[in-house]
Amino acid sequence: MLIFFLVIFLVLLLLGMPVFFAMLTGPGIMLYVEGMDRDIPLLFRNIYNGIDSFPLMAIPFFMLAGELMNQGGITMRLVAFSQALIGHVRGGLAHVNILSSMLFAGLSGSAVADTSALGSMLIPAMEKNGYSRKFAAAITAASSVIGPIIPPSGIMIIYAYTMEISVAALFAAGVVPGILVGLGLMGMTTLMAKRYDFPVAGRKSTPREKVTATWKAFFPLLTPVIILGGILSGVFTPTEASAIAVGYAMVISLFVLRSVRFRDLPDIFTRSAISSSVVLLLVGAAIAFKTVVSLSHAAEMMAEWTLSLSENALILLFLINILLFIVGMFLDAGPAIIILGPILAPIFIKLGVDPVHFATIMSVNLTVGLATPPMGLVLFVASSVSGEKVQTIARAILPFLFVEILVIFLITFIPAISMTIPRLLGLA
Amino acid sequence: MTAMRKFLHLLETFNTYMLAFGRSIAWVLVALMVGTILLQVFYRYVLDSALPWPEEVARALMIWMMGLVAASGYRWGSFVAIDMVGEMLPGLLQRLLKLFLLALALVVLCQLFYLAIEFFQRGFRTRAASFHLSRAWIYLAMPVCFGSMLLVNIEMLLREIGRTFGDPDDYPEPPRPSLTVAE
Amino acid sequence: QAADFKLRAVANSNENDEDYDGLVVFKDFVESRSNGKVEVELFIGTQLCANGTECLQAVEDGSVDIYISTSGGAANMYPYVQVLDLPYILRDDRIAEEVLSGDFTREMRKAILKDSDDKIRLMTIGNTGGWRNFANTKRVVKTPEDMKGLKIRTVVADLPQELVKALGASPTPIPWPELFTSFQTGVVEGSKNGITDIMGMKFPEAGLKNVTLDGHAYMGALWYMSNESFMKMDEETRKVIVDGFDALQQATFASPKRKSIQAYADFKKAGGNLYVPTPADKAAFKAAAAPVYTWFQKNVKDGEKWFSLLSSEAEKAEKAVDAAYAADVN
Ligand code: NA
Ligand code: NA
Repeated sequence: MLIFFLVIFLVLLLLGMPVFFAMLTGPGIMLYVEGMDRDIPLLFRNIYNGIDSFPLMAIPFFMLAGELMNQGGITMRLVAFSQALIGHVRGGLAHVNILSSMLFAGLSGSAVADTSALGSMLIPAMEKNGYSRKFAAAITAASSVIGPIIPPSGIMIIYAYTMEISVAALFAAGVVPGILVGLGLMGMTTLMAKRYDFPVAGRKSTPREKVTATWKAFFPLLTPVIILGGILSGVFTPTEASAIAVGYAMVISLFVLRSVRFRDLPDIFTRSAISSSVVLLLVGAAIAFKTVVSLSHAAEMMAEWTLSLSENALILLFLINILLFIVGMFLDAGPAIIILGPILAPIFIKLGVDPVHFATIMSVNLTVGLATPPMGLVLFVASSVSGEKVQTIARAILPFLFVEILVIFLITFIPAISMTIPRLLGLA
Repeated sequence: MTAMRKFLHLLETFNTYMLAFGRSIAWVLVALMVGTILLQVFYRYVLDSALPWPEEVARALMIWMMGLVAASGYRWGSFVAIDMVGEMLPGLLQRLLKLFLLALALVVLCQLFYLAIEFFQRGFRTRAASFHLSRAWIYLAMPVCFGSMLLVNIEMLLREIGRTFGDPDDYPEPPRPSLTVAE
Repeated sequence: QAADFKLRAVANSNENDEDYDGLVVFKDFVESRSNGKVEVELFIGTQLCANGTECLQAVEDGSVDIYISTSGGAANMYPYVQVLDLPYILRDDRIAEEVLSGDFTREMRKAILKDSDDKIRLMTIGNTGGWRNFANTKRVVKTPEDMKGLKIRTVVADLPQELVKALGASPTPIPWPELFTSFQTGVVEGSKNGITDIMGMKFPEAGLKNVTLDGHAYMGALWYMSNESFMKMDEETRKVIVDGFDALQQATFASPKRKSIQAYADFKKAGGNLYVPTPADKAAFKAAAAPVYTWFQKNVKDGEKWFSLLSSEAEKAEKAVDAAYAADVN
């Protein structure tokens, strides 16, 4: 019974084995038990095969660009810019946190980077301003999931790579959903601000201050224009755009803002090399895992079972969102997409759902899963940045998760939210 | 126990140097990767003639970058795991569970290392598509990757054995280089 | 009764592809003719491995029994198979089919067995997708001069890039999934694909409207089997397998011809221009492409040998077909 590899995988995962090892151990044990020795080399080869990919290279590059921007005090300028715009309203810093995440999202493809960059700056600031630490950590974690929804996005790169669809189309589809999540979180913050009497962060900025803050944030804010403009207008391929983002970040942080020195570069490069190598290995292991899913015919079984529940795309989409949400609680978004994408997407494409629309649903849903326990990467990071316990943040984040789930269902049932921009650009 | 502690100390020292060596090359590879792709962009858009090799070269650099620093990521906890169940268990059981998982990971890494060596040896029959080099030299990054992770895993396992059956204070974590992020 | 031999067959395409048609014929043939002794399990797409290098290595490892690649797909492993990509050597379907059914394939089998340490056995060469033609978004290409300056998408491999360069165009490697967008935005202006792939990806909607039926390369499909899996069968069963691959070859010869009818009709309906080069145009293309022949013979292992073998086999086939004309036409 090869299919038991799924059980072993889940048990090991829950017992605390790192995902990378659990994804190899479960299939490895069952292949050995079943005497399918010839498939063990296949499992290994596919780790390598999964990593040796040009589209994936955008992930290390966007990570590096984010790292450079962060080191270069660019995050600070974005926060100052947000502050000048909305700092004066009730719950000002909470709004600033969300808006900064939306701006940061245009530079970075990772929620983890967002949490650590903005969290280390804004959580202490919010605490000083009178917010509880758990609330500050929760809003940081909740808003950081915008990072991989608004392009660029590591998760969408992985989706496009696994399912062989256009990265540009997926990036275009993420813009409005990302903004919607941000607005939703701001709405919830406004409600809570009245109820709990949140502090304001300061007086209204004068027009002059606004201009100064905008000017200081001008070069960083130009990054998404270059990256997205370049990709969506088709000037660059996504991988090229990611390398250009690195080049641009280096130029502005070394020469324009002079916030990074040449001797800082080795450390910055090394840090991003380590984070990317972990992501790459995870992608490789997930591709290997997927091989055994194919060998066991689990995919066909699951597709058949899904269609036996209903043949109505809307009902199935509702159910699939619940499934994805649960999966996202336990599995990192990348592996979840690699394993489940090839199983689920064909079902819905056959039922008439646009491939790009389904990709958006799946990516956004699993991205939100980054902020849910027990396996919530951004919760872990928010916890280590703030010093608050993961469980405490997990409770404080609930109202925001509620908003994000609402947005997931809006995206699911109103295709125009994600599809309008790609259609206008002729990408879908 | 003393012999093991000595051996562990030796291994820790060796690993520390090995990982530092890997990192000091990896960052150069990252820089070369960026340079290669920017060069391609320049050739394609400015000179209007794309080069045949940058894509494959950048991919090879990426594989090597990963192979050289994966073990650093493993040693300093970048491989995420769910720790919910472990934390609910009483102390000793928690330790034993950790030991069990590390032992299992050891078996997996041994297997991966062995297959990676084979992969490398067979790679001499394949050549890169756009430059004259046997793909074996790209594949070599895989035994390096899993071999170094294996050494780190042995270190972690020995440390955990020491902490379980001896005084945990005798087995501190190796010092973390300032640059690694807490993830 | 359980089968004695379970064969695992992989094709990286999809179920609309002629590779799949071939596999269905093969599976049915060997399963029925062997009285259930042989069972074939199909894995279509990238479930087990995703490209030529990966899958051929999987056949060497023994993880996959049967696999189909194009010549480009095997170029990293056995560079000389690219001889099939050399432009304008095979005149038409009849010549190509004659050549591939003969000793050329057997010679190549020997070479691949030798280079794979007796692990990979080339069983047959069929077709996948008909013929490669130049297509572009800019203008109707009638002569090699019209190709000048066009940015043509190629895969990351040297031979197709050399060909594009020889014609004065500029080769640009773009990943397949990004190609649609790249046409739309002008990152590339052309490609070299079969008509079914062009229509399958809806490229005319991205502006790819000019196809020149220069037929520069026959899209050969190389079918391999693990030599170990093959040789451990008894002779009777091996015969069934060989016949099965013969049936498969016939099926893949026929399938693209049938499929391209609809594809061409759809292409015209989408506003596409088809240009059929005159014999003089074609001779001009062939002359312009000559540097690729030299490049191949100089840079690829045993290049001279394979170039002259294919050329002489093509000549032989032309003679045979011409003799048949003499009998059939009059
Ligand atoms: Na982003
Ligand atoms: Na935030």
